[in-house]
Amino acid sequence: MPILQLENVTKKFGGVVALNNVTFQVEKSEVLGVIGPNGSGKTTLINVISGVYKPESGKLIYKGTNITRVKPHLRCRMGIARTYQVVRIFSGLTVLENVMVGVLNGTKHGKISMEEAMKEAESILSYLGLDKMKNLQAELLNIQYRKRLELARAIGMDPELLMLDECLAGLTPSEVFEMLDVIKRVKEDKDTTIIMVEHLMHAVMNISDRVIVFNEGKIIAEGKPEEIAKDVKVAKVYFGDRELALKFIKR
Amino acid sequence: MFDLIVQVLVFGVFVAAIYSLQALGFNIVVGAMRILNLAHAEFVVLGAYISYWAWVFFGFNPIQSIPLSALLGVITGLVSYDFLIKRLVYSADVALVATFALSLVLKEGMKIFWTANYRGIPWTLGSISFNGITVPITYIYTLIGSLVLILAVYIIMYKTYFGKACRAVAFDRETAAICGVNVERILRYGFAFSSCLAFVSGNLLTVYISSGINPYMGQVIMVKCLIIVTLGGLGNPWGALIGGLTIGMLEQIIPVVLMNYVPNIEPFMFTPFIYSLIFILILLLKPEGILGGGVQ
Amino acid sequence: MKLGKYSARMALILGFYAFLAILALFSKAYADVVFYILLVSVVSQSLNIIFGIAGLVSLGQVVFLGIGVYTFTFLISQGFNPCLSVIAGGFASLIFAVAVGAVLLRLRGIFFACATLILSVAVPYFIIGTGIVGGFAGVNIYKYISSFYNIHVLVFSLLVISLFTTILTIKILESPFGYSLRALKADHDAAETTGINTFRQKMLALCVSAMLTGIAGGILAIKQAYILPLVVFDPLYSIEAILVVLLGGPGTVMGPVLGAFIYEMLRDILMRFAPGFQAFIYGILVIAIILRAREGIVGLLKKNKKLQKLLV
Repeated sequence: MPILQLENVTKKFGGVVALNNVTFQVEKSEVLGVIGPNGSGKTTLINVISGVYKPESGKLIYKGTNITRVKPHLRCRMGIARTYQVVRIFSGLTVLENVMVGVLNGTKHGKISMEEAMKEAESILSYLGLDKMKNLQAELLNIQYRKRLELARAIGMDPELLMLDECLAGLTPSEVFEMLDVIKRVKEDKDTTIIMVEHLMHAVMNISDRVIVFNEGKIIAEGKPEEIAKDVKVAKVYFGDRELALKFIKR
Repeated sequence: MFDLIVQVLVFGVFVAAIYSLQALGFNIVVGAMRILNLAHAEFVVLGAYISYWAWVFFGFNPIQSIPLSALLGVITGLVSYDFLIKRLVYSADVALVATFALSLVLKEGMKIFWTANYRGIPWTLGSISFNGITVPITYIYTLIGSLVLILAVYIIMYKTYFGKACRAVAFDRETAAICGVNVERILRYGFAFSSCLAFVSGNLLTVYISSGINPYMGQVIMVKCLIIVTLGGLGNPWGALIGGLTIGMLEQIIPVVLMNYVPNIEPFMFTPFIYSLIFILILLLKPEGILGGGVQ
Repeated sequence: MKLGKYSARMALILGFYAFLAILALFSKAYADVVFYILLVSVVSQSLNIIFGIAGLVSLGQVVFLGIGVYTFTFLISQGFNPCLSVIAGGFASLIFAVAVGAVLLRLRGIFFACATLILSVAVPYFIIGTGIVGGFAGVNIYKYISSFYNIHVLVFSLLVISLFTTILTIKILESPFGYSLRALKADHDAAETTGINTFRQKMLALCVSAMLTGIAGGILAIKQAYILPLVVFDPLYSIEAILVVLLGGPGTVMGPVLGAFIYEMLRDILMRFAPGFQAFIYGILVIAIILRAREGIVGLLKKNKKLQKLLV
């Protein structure tokens, strides 16, 4: 059974239709890449799935349960975690405390003590190479470490569905490499399903099991990365040039 | 009875014009800066005092002292912005406390310099009556003045570059910046414009409250401004007009209703409570405005 | 950072309270001063929980105090036991907070702040307008309280409440609740998507804050004896609390307590040398602190590595 199903989901902002009758599924443990031009509705999709926005119509079904009306914080406790396009860490808290907030309020909410949460947070920080700065105030971190911290916080929630919103944006090539490595490890070690909105083509095409392509609020293509790279519609929407698209699949 | 109602409604329109002016200024700051300037009411009170002192020292009537209030309003706005407001533009919650403190400083400052004694301007030109309704002529001049000013505000906000830039910044600051708007400067002049409007509306207010000018009258003014702006939708300029009219009417009607229909209640003491109820009611029913209600 | 229970910190805290207790026992006049310090302290510590930790601005904290005062006044004049009346004052404020919070906490913080401000004006005028519990002319409850009135008992009660609040604040900061509050202060929406039920946490914080302030109100009623609406609901209490929290250090534990002490000294100086200027100077101080030293005294002291272990 798919872990997440969207059925005829529509989200409007006044006159703008950000998601237009969107239907798709995400299989358990897969990495789903979400690509598309700017403004095509990718971030809105994440916002709708995480509960920040309520769709005008349609259904969201997560692990068999209809979560369309479920509040955001409850979705977290059910196992849905996300990161933000523009990093949103908790300033005023230390790096360790940031991750602890995730641990305390994710799927383990109410079932974990402060000491256990701290240990869990510490292990996640070492997993991500942030343990040396665990007592640093979070706002002092640079962008690369901030992104990692946000990822750590999301992982701390022990999610079954992890949504990453352009987590590679603004990183240097080596930083991208490290981040992708982390994401691969998370997927393998914890069997997490990942939805990854991304612009960096080689990253998305490489790491995804499947890719869906958005344009103007609709899904215009769905399939394996190689199929998508050859898809004329996708190429038109992005480049207008097929050859260029094929180059990207080869990393 | 009917005459009383009509008289009350007519007076409602007169005060509504002033309230609209006050709310317009308040709205501009809320919209562009996302800051609730809790000292706005004190700016209005300062305007009232200027009108008083202009009368005492120069013999200016409240219409003649408008330019003076406007000028002092702009200066005060610029100074306040440079020293305080501009550092608050990025943290809305702290801004509330800071502007609250500013209102306290202004209020107490007025008390220290000018004492808490009630002041008033005895400006009368007689009154005219028709159909059984008596209206002081000064009120009519003030209404005309207010309407002219409101019209001027709308022309500025919709027809001039400055006004359009203000609205652009209120709508989406980053995009406005990308389009070439000097956001920092617009915020500064926008604030000065807002305080200018506050001072001028206070100046005109003295006509209606002929003997009640005191440093603490800002409290009720602030409540009314908040209600008007929430009622009309935060940042929505037409809202200021509609809200002003509503409050102006309610203000006249409520004491009358209370006096005639609800016994055992001191009507004028009860009115602030009614306003608060209205505020809470509006928040319950229509909390949107531009700032919305947080996460859905 | 863990805040250990048995350490130099606790010694410092207990030492401070012991100092206040001894001061109060010195003479009746000193007891009066300590009473006021502790009253401001409790109100400020309560405000600290919602404002300092959770970032919820409250401009009308006095409304919770006043409701406590009036509830006590009403109950004592009906013959109820004074201790129960004081506690009832706390519960009345709690209920009021729940009602207010239910409406306002789902909206942006500015609405809550404005509503507290408006309510702190509306409630006294409601009392005056309807004439309940004495209305404008107030009520004299001297005859009900003179039998048990004892300034030292009052001071001791407030001291216990303040100490309780101090320890409560420490516990909150060390708990998931405290972490949630700090997270939602930092970024409300991100807190929601990290699993925090922001509405519930804010409501809880508000309830704790209101209840403590309400109980302090009950005790204040005993001290005041003559209860007048505009005196009880004096906006100065709200301003004091804000100033003390900012001065001492918002979000710290001992900040408000220390701030209350310093504030009382300041108030005394101003009363002697510049009466009538008090509120004016408080306003300027608040602005100065916001512009220059938002962490407050304890916040600034905590930046020093050596003092970090000692302060909380």
